[in-house]
Order: sequence, then C-alpha cells, then structure tokens
Amino acid sequence: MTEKVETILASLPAERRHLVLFLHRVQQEFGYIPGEALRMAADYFAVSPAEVYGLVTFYSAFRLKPGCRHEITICQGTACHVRGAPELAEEFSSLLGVKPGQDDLDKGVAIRTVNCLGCCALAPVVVVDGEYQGRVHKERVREILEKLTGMK
Amino acid sequence: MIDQKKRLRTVGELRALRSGLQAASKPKRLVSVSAASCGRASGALAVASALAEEIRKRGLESSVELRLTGCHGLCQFEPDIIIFPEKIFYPNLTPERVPLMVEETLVRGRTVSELAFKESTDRQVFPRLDDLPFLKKQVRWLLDRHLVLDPEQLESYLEHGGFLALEKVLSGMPPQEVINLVLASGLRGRGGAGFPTGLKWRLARESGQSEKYLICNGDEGDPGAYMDRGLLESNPFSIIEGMIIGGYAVGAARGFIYIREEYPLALERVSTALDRAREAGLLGDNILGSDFSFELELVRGAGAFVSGEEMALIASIEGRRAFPRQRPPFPVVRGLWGRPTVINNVETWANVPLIILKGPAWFSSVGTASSKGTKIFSLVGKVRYTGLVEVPFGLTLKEVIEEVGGGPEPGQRIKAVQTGGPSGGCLPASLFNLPLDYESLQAAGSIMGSGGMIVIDEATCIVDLILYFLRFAREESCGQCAPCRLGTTRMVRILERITRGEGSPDDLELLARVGRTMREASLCGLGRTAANPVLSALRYFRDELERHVLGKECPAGICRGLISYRIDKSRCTGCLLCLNSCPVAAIAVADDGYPTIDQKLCTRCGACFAACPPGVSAVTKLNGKQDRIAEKPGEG
Amino acid sequence: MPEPVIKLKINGMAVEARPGMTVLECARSHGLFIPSLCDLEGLPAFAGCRLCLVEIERRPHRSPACQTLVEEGMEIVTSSPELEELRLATFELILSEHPYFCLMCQEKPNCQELKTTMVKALEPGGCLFCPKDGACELQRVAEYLKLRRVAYEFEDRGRPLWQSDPFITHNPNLCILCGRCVRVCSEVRGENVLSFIGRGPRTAIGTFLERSLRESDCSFCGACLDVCPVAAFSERGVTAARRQKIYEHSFICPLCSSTCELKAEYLEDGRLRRILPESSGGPVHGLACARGRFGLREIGDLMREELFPVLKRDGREQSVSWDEALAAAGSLLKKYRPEEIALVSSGPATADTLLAFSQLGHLLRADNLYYFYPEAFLEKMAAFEKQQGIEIGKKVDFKELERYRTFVLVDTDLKSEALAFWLEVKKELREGARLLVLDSGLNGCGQTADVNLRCLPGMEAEALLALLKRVVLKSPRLSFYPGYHHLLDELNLWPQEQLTRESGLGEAELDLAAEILLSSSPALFIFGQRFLRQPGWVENLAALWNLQLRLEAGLLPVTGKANELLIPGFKNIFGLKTLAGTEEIEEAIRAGRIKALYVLGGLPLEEKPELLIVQTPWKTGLALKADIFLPSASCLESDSLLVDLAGNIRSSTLELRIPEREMKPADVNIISRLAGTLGFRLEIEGYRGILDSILNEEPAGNSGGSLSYLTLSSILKKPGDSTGPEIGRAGRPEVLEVIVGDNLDHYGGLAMAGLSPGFRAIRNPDWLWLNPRDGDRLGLREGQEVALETAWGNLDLEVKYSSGLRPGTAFISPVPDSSLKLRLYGQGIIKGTVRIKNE
Repeated sequence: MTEKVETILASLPAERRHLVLFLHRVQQEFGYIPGEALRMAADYFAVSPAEVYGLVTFYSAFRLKPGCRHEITICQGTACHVRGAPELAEEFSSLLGVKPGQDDLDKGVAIRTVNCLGCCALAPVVVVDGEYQGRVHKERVREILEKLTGMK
Repeated sequence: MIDQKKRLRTVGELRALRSGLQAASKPKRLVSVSAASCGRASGALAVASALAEEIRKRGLESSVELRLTGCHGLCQFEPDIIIFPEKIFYPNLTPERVPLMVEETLVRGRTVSELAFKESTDRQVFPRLDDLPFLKKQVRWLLDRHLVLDPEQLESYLEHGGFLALEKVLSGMPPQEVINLVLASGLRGRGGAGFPTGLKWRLARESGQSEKYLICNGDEGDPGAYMDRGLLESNPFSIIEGMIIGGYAVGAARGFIYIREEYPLALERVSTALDRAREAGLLGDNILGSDFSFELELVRGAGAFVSGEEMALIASIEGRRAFPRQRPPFPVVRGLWGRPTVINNVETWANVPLIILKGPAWFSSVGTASSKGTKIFSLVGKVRYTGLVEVPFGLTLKEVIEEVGGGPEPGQRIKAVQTGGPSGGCLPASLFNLPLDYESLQAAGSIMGSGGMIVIDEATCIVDLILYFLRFAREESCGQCAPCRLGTTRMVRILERITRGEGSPDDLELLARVGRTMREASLCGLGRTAANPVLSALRYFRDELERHVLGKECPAGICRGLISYRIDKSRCTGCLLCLNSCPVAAIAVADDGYPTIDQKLCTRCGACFAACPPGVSAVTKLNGKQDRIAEKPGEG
Repeated sequence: MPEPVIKLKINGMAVEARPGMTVLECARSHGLFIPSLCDLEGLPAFAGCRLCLVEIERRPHRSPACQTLVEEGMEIVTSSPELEELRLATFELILSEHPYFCLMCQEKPNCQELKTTMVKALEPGGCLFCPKDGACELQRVAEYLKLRRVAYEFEDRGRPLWQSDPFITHNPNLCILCGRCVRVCSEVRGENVLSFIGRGPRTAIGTFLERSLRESDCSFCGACLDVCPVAAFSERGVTAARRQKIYEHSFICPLCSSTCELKAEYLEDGRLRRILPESSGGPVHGLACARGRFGLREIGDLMREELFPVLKRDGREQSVSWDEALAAAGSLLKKYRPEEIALVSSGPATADTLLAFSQLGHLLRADNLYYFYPEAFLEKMAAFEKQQGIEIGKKVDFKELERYRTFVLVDTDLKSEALAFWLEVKKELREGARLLVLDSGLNGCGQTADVNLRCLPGMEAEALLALLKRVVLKSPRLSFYPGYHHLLDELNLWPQEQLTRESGLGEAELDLAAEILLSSSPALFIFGQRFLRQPGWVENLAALWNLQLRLEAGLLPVTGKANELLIPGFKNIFGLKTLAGTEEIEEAIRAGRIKALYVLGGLPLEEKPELLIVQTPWKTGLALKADIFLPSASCLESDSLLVDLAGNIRSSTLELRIPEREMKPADVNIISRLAGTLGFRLEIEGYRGILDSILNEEPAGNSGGSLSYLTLSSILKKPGDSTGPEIGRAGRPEVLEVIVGDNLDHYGGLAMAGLSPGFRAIRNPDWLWLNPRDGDRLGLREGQEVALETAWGNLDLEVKYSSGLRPGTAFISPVPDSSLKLRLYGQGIIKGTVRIKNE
C-alpha cells in the first residue's frame, strides 16, 4: 500500500494545493483513503495530520473506509426530489435492506445519495455502478436490482 | 489534426490554420448526436454506435459525418439527433429506430414524421429544429454552438470561429481596451450576484500587484441547475478562450478552472481541451508570439456546495477546508494566496469571446436596462419540456415556463417556480409576469442565482420543498458561523415538526426570526441566502404553511404526518395486493374479509396506494392528521 | 516618528485608533463592550460567532468588529435595538446546542450562599458541576443581552466525551465551535493537534483520525483549556470553584528557560487545586506547558508531605525543628577540612539559590563545588571559542527577532526547551518568516517547519555542509570574510552527492532548504544541547559557523538550563564545576577525599560519605540515606529569582498565605540560615543587584574574536568513523541509532513521571521512540516492554511510535537518575538493539 501511495505522492509537487488531488487519486486507487495515506500526505505536503483529517472529513467525496462492490447512487437534486427521489431511495433501501448512506459490506451494496448530478431533465436519476440511469421510477427499482444481483 | 509538436507561433499561423480547416471539403451532411452527460444517461452512445454501424453498412461514410457533440439543451428529448444542413430534429431516438431513420433521411432525404417531435396537445408535427415551440422565445448565442461543435477537437472550435476573439485581442488591442469593451457590454456575473464583470477586471488590473490569478468557478452546486455543466461539456474551448482574454486584460499569468467532482465528463473534456490548447501554443509562454504568457490549470472539487462561494472556492484551491472568509476584502483585492483574483463563473467566461468579437453594442442589444445579453436557465421540474434554455434578460417567467417550457404536465396546475436554487426563493404563479433580471427577482424575494429554474405544481408540497432545501443547506453549511450552522439545523427541526403535524402557529414566527437572523448575521452568501426558500414561502405560501400548522393538513398530500391511507370497502375486490405490498405489515384482513390498515403501524409509505390496481383504487389517500381523520366519515 | 492615528466615530463619538487595530479592539479601548465569543486577543480573527456584528456606514452588510480593521472616517454603530435583537437571536441559536438552564436559573443570584443548586437539566448541565461556572463567557453575554428565554429546546448532540487522556477532557456537547482551541493550537502554539473536522451539523473539534490527544503528538500545553470560553475543554479533576474559597498565588516556573509565570490555586483545606498560566496579557499570552501546569500539579501536594527536617541519630530518624537541624548541620560540617567537603546542586534551582549555595561553598573554602549536569555545554562552547578564536553570539533579544526571515533549529526542540522563545518565533512565522528544522532526533517543531531535515544521527555537520555547498553554488557571490577562497577550495573536497548521501537527506529537501535560506534572509541559526552532545560536536559547530557566516546570519545557542548556566554571555558566575557523571565523586568518597556532602536536590549516588546533608522538597532516594534531611519549599511556594534566555531577571514574591497550609522555608533561606550557624552572613537581599550588574555588564563582544571561515578538512570526521563502542555489526538491520534527548521533566531530584500517573501517561521517560516502520520491521507494537541493549548497559523501555523520527533511528529521553543513564547522556548517540522482554 505504502509504495503505491508514495508513487502517487511522487507524481505531485509538494505544494499544499495538490492535497485534494492526491486524495482523489488515492481513492481512485484503493476505493477509499487509508489512514496511513493521510499520515504520509501530511508529511509530504507539510500540513499537520489533524488538518489533513479536517480536510478529508469536510469534503463529501472522500471515504475513509473501504466501500462496497456495488454502489447505487440516488441523485437528490431538486428536480429529482420533486419527481420522487425520496420514494426511490426508500424503495431501494427497503428492497435491499440497506440504509442510505450506510455501507453494507455483507450484502456488498451501498446506497448513496448525491446532491445533484446535473442531469435534472432526466429526473429522477440513479447511478448504478457508475452507469447513469434517467427517469427511474419506483417500478424499475426491482428490475435494476435483479440485474445487479445477477451480476454478483 | 494539428501536429502535436507544432505550436502556433503567430496570429497569422492561427488564421491560416483556421481558413485551412474552413476550406477543407466536408461531407454534405452532418448528424449531430447530443452526447453530454444526460444524453449519455439516456443512451446517446448506443444510438451513436447504431448510427455509425448503419452509415458504414450503407457506405455513407463519405457523405455523412457523425459527430458526438455536447448538450443540445433539449434534454427532455434525449437522446436526440439533429441532421444538418436542414436541421432535422429527431427526439428520443432509440437504436432500434436508427435503420429506419438512416434509410429514410440519410439515403432518401425524407423526414420521418413518426420520429419527429409532436406536440401532444394537437398532434402537430415539428420535423425541423427551428420550428420547435421550445426554441421560439430563445436566443441561443451560446447554446447554438453546442449543436455543431465537437467538444474534444480544437479544430472543430477553430472552424466555427473559435479563438477569433483572442486573435483580435492579440493583434494589438491594449488590455485597457479589452476591459472597456467588457465594461461597455454591460456583462454581469452569471454566477448569481451580478457584479459587473468589466469593473471586476478593472479593479484587478489597477491593483498594482504583479501576481494575479483568474478563476473559473465551475462548482455548480445548486441542485437542479446544470447550465455550467452544459457549457463545460459542450464548448470547453470558449471558456478557455474567455479566460486567456481575461488574463491578458487584467495582467494575470495564471488561472484555474475549478469543476465539481460530480461532473466527471466536464472534468475530462476540459482537461482534454486544455491539453489541446497547450499543444497548439494557445496556452503557455508567449502565446501566438506575443509577450503575453498564460497558464491554466484544472482543479477538481471534492463535494462541497459551499466551495461555490468565492472565498470558500479559494480556500478549496489552496488545499484547505472550504471555509469562506469574511468580505471585504474581496478576492479582487485579496484572493488566492492573498493575491488579487478575478473569479467569474463558467457562463460569464463563455460570453467574453462573443463580446470581444461582436462588440458591446451587439451584446447589449438584448436584455433590459440593467441586465444585458442572454442567460441560460435550466428549466426543470414539473413542466412539459425541460432542458437548458437561453433567453434574453427581461423575458417574463410566464413566457419561459409556458411558452418555452410548454406549461404544466397534463392534468396538473403549476403552483410556483423556484429560482436560484437553495439560495433562491419560491415564486408563486401569480408573480409569473415578473421579468427575468437580477433586480426584479431579488425584489420579489428570490434571486437569479446561476440560473436554476425548478417548476413545481400542485402535487408538490411547499413545506416538503423548503424542508428539502433547508436539509440541503444544513448538510452543506461549512459549519463555521453560528447563524448558518445552527439556523439551518433549527429550521429543519421546526419544519420536521410541522410535517409531522406537530407544528404550531408560533413556529411560523420562529421560522421568520431564524430566517432573518441567518440573512442578517451569517458570514457568507450561502448562510445569508440559505433561509430564502423559507422566507419566500412565508411570504407567498403562508396559507399553505398555515394549513399545515393550523389545519393539520398537507394540501399536496406529501407530508406523511398529515395524511393517511384507508381502504374503501365499497371498491375493494379483496385481491390483497395491498396487504402483500405493505413493508411493515400494517394491513390485515379484518373479520369481514376486507383488508384494513392499522393506523398505528402504518408509516404512510404509500406502497398499498401504489399497489391497488388503477381500475379499483380502493386505497385512498386522505388529507389531514391521522387522529383527525378518524373522526371524518370515510370517503367514497 | 509619531505613530499615525486614525480618526473615526463610534456611536457618534469621535475616537482615535492605531492603524491595524480592529473595530472591536478600538471599541474596547474606549470602554465599549461588544459581546463576542470567538474573538480572543492574540488569535487571528475567526468571525464565527457573529455576536460582534456592528453597523458601518456605507457597508451593505453588518461587519464583524473582530475582523474589521479601523479606517479613517469610519462611522460605526455598535449597539441599536436591531443589533441587539440580532445578537440575542444568534445567541439563542448558539444556546440551542449548549445547555442553557444555568444561564437563566432563578436561583442564580443566591446560589453562592445556598450552594444547593444541583444538576438542573439533562446532562451535560447543572452549574454546580460545571468546571467553568463563574468563568463561563456565555454568562457574561447572557447578562449583557438580558436573556430571559430561549426559543428552542436544548438539543444534546449526544457525542462521546474525550476521556482517555489525562488532564484534559473535551466535551463536544458543550462546544460552541468558536475555534479558539484550533487557532491557539496551530497558530500560536504550533502544536497542530486540533482541527475542525466534519461539516455542517457534524462540524466538531477533532484530532487526526479522532485519536486521543496522547496518540496525536499533543504536548499537553493546556492552551486549549485557557482559551475555551465554555467548559468544552476542561481540566480533568478540577471541579467548580463555587463551593469554596480559592486561594491563589503566582510563582515562576524554574523548569526550563522560559520562566513562565504560573498561578497556583488552592482550596480552603490547603490542597492544591490546579496550576494555570498567569494571564495578565490575556489567556493566549499566558504561558505554561505540561511540566509546569500538570506535572507540578500532580507532585505539588507530594512535595509537602515532609514539613520538618529529619535527623538521623544512632541510625534512628527523628523529626526535629529547623533550628535544631540547622545547628546540627553546621556543627557537623565544621568538623571537616574544606577539601573534604563537596557541595552539589542538582535539578532546576533558582538563581538566588545557586548564588547562596556557591557563596556558602566559597565561604567554606570548599574545593568541590559542583553543578550536576550530565553534559558540559558551557565548557564545550567556551573551549571551542577559545580554540578557534571566535565569539558566538549568545543573547536572545526577543525584540530583534523580527529582523530574521528564516529560523533554523538545529538539534533543538524549542517547544520543550524554550517555549517562550518558540512562541516568539511562531509570531514571526505567522508574519511570513520561514522555519527550517535540522535534527536527527525527535523535534516537536518539525511538523511546523517549511522543511524538516531529518538527517542521519551524528551527520549534522555533513547536512550543514551540504546546505553550505548549495548556498555557495546557487549564489556564488563573493564574501569578504577571510578564508573564503580557502573555503571554496575545501568545499570541492566533498562532492555534493557524498554529502547528500552521508547526511541521509534528499536532494529536493536540501535544495528547497537552501533556496529558503537564500531567498528569505537573514536567517537565525538556533542550536541546542544535543548538537554539542554528539561525538562530532566540534565539526558540527565548525560547519554551522561557516554556513551562518556565508549567509550573514545570526547564531544562537539555546538550553533549557538558561537559569543555571546564565546563558547570556555564558558567565559561570556561580563558580560551580559541571559534574557530568557521578563516578568521579564516588571515587573521591571511596578514597576518603570527600567526607561531607551537601546536596541540593537529588543525585544518583551509590556511595555514602560520612556526612550527607540533603536539601530537597521531598524524600528522594538520596534523602532517605541522608544524615540530615532538610525539606525545603518547592518552587510552587518560594520566592524566586530567575534568569531567562534573553538575560532578563524574573522575580516573584510569594504574597498569599493559605490559612490551612503550613509553609516551608525556601532553599535560599535555609542556606542562609545554615551559613549563619557556621558564622557567615549571606546578603541574600542584595542578590538581585548582583545578578543585575552581571547581566548588564558589557559583553566582551566580537572585538576579540575573528570573523573568519574555519578550516574544515582538518577537523571534519571521515565517513565511517566510529561513534563509540559498537554493539553488533554496523549495518545490521536490528541495530538502531539511538539519540539521547534531554529530559527537563524532573524537579528536586525526582522524575515527575515517577510519581504522577497522569504525567507518566503523556511523558514517560522510559519510552523508546521508534518510527512505525521500524516497529513493523522489528515485530514490535506500541506499548510493548523491551530492553534496549547498548554497549554501556541495558535499559528497560516501552515502545512508542512517532513518524517524526527517521527510520533506523530511535529516541530516548531518560531522566538522569542512574549512572547508566548519565553515561548514555555523555554519548549523545548510541547504537543499540531492541529485545522483547518476556511477558
């Protein structure tokens, strides 16, 4: 792990402004940001570890624990909200038995919410393992999940 | 293709390259596929590959060019294609229908009316883009280019007049003159506050400091707004060109384009565009042989709405928590790393080359006395046609919602429009004669914001909507100042109480007081405007709020504490679909053999309501707090 | 030049202000109260509480007075019905997440007498047990705003308390997120332990990965306690003051060169309640560290267990009166010839005590007057100067620090050795000065540094030469100091890559450090005791001298023992010899050359002379062996006269007497009375004058010394030179280079951590600091008990991780309480292997 982190560090100048980019790259590599990577970043960018932690917990893009194999992201933009995103989230949640925002490592599926993906005309929007799906209605939830579980 | 190693060394070389591109022979027809994020989400890539396959099969490669463009703005119709030169428009195309389209239109030159857009009300067919009612009131200075540009090819931009403005500037226009042009155009910041762009540039130019920065604010965080994503994904070079010109004008050598991480395609396309521009010598040292050097860097956000606030954005670029800083001093005095910094949003930068090229008189020919030019809105929500719309300032809300947006969805009535996102307000249908400009919206208690326009109808509950916005604001508050962090939390608590049916009339006064405090005392724009949805609701929808707290009912039937479901025995067929659908086993078969709902267990999720077959409709939704419903006689 | 004045109006009243003042400061200076909770003098503004908003003419929004600078012609309104309503509404919002019942309690006016007010609400709440009661800043704001009710129910955040640290408790449910603790921790103290974490409603004060403070490199300076406006940070075990009267007095902490003025609080029953920094300049400026405030607090009452002298007669211990004990001591001492008497002062002693002690020694004509100090800092400096014919600048002038743009710390952890000085440096860093740290050991300032050069142990000279060479190459401007060309020739003898390799540093960090030295000048080089404790100390000094000369920088030695050494000018005014180890004295005792020994403090002594007099606040191991034990007052309860790094005399006089507390005589008084029984008279009242005249004496200056480059080739060690007897083969992976650090955590001959469990938890002198990677490599885990095997003997230690150490090195900072530890001190750097002890 540390070698990979070091490689990422070495690709960036040791200027504080690259800290966020570093975190993105680490997350891309590991799917989350290991604590040790934060410590190494603090050292490299000469920012205190506490401040690095303060930064990483400020931005919602970053995850400090390993994620799940499958991810369902439900857009919570206004257009999606008025077109039924809350019910959609509820449906996913009740069918899967996984609470939104919580990773269920046993089931391997996480339900996340995002503030707005900017695909408002297609509301409500759901992203299933990186694939955008527009105009998702409650009836399609089971179908999406079946496809997903079929993939497992 | 531009030779990667060949940098354009002079303005003349750029000119020569452009005319070469323009003179080159091209296929007769161009098929433009809308392939920005939402196009892709609707299957644009599948349509595109079906098209490519079909074109190849029929040997049309030399006469037809297939081009994946950015967003056409006709998002309701995604994936759509436009066939040039006639501008034949086919909405919601599927791969299955591609062979028919290719056969008829590309081979035989006929439009396929069954694929064309039809107005649902009168079945009138609109085969040409220019005839679409959706476009009638629009003035698409920026968006029209999206129909033809390949966002990843510099050549494509050049061919359509790209970098002509830069050419003009670098052919001997003094920086001061550039600023004067922008000032004269009346261009105001499209990010929300509407500060005159030229004035900002002049302040930066005259700061007397040698190190200055430019920032393009592409942290478009307003939920329900995606104008900037559209621009970034469809025409990234225009933003780059605008910033180079801006850098020249204010005397900055470095700029940053900050894009929220939720826009992966925009990040990718801007990154590509920056590489292309750099290779061509349009960025870097001594641009086109001038003594002006300018570098642009892409910065990826990390998921924080507040980083769209300019001071917070600066903190974010510096690699800190996006805590805003008290202004003054403004960033143009003390910005990034303490240096004068010009921050403009994506749409503002995109307008700059147009102004330089066509002149301030042209630009200010549309708009109102104080708001010049056009503005892109993302028209979404409960309206028939949704998408990006570009209209001149001064058009009324009514014109936009009814004429551009086609009015309400069938069988619904439009109740209000939310402009300006979570910082804006909800304007009722009675105010739809309001002209769209910075001042009018503000006077009405909302804001223009960056251009989000979310239409809501009678099926949307105002309390639920403002609770949604306040929850958003609470989660996105940076947490630094007390009024915003705690005010949003308190408002959420009060609104939750109201949706549970536990609200009191005092709560409305309390909401007003918290709102006032947030507006007057918060540190940054986010906190100062976070209460706007509530304050505007108190102003325009007091009646609906009072019905929640006094009448204990939710007119839209949304707030779960204020509705209940019952099973009308007279209509029930005893199929028990409702019973099977209930996730909490609140439905049981009573002695009489009919299912009944145990109101104590019921969470009012509506599953039974949805499960009951449409022809039966025995499950009915009742408005009003549960304990009061019990006294009401059963309906139907 | 007269200071420019800004004219403005506040509430219609014409006032004047200095440029750079904030509106809040200006208003306060004119007696106007504006409520505020996040602002604090000495901290950068935060503008988070929004209570200090004022109206300023021509500004569209209300401005926070704490962050708005005064401007000419400004017209400000600080109070109006609208402003007060806005403040009240904001304050109520703040109280929606902080228990507020105590602020509005009807019993409030008379609960002082009733003392019955109990927990009034949900936990946390209730004023009786709120450690901040009476000092809570919310109370003042509530009073100002005439708070009657709060529009919201109090919402408990329900977050867990930080309870795994000694001394400091954090209750996040009381926190109002004013951020003072974060700012003082990072901006002022440079600890960088605390940060805001999370966002929105989850915003909180946190540490790295939300670990305990102990696991977060916190030095427990306690600044967070001092600045917290509420009881979110509170001192563990200190309850509300309301129940009884508090007696307090000030004293000066003698434990390092910072001479912090502290305040001790006692309860009615005479027990020590807590120790605080004296905060006349505001809580941010009040200085204290873990030693002074927590260490002394934990041992404060222990040092009072022995109130009367103990006399050993016929093997029996007897508690006697002071007169009797001193008379006995006098008559016994008289029996010995001067050359048979030795006087040893150990542990931090005040300047007046040392003056009296040395004076007594001289009057006794005793041959053996010692200052017990396990290294010869003073002697080495003097020897080097003499040998090289140079003078090293010695005096720290805090007022002059602003002229330096780069501070370079070489083998000195200012946070530990000179906190006050460090905070002055921090001020300059906030103003844009740069910080470089060159250290092979653990350095608490390292994480604040622009470049933290962690060189190989003992390779400081190479690192400095590598910097010098870069500086010369990057900026080949001629220098007119004698020997410059010779220096250039010499530098050619060491190829760049050799220096880089031998110092163990990276090209990039050396380049950056050199760049900073050149671009941000002048620099001030500050070096500490560990720099001179190395085998290659001469080379170290020579290399440092040449580098600072080339950069025309300043050079400053620093020691935590400023008071005892009288660092300004290195005047050994006490005439005491340094006693670096105990072998010499033990040999003399065995041989009968020394028969009577008078020890101030403790001493790791195996042999006992015929007569042993021990004077210390408590019964140390040596005191148990003593024929006469004189229990003196501790530094907490004595008048004192101290000298700081800057050469200032600091004095404090104990004024308050606590009724229930028996006072012991101070060291200086005991020595003076003892002198009296011997027929001498010590003019202790005149000591201040004596110190004054010594310190104000014109320093010899640089006139005598030459300003020339020192020849290096003759003195620089060759690579591979041995640094003492080796254990195992060099290069074996299990062999660690162990740096022996100083330990200032002792007083009166005993390690603070030895007696105080809390202090031990944060500053265990038996920790073996390792880089986590070494820990992994050696199969060790934190907390494990190990034996460090060295050529001089084995130490039992406990493994502790710090990523501040470079891999392959270890760090120990033992209290010098045994002959083995004294020997290790003498080596500075040792090689050792780590063996896991059987569990």
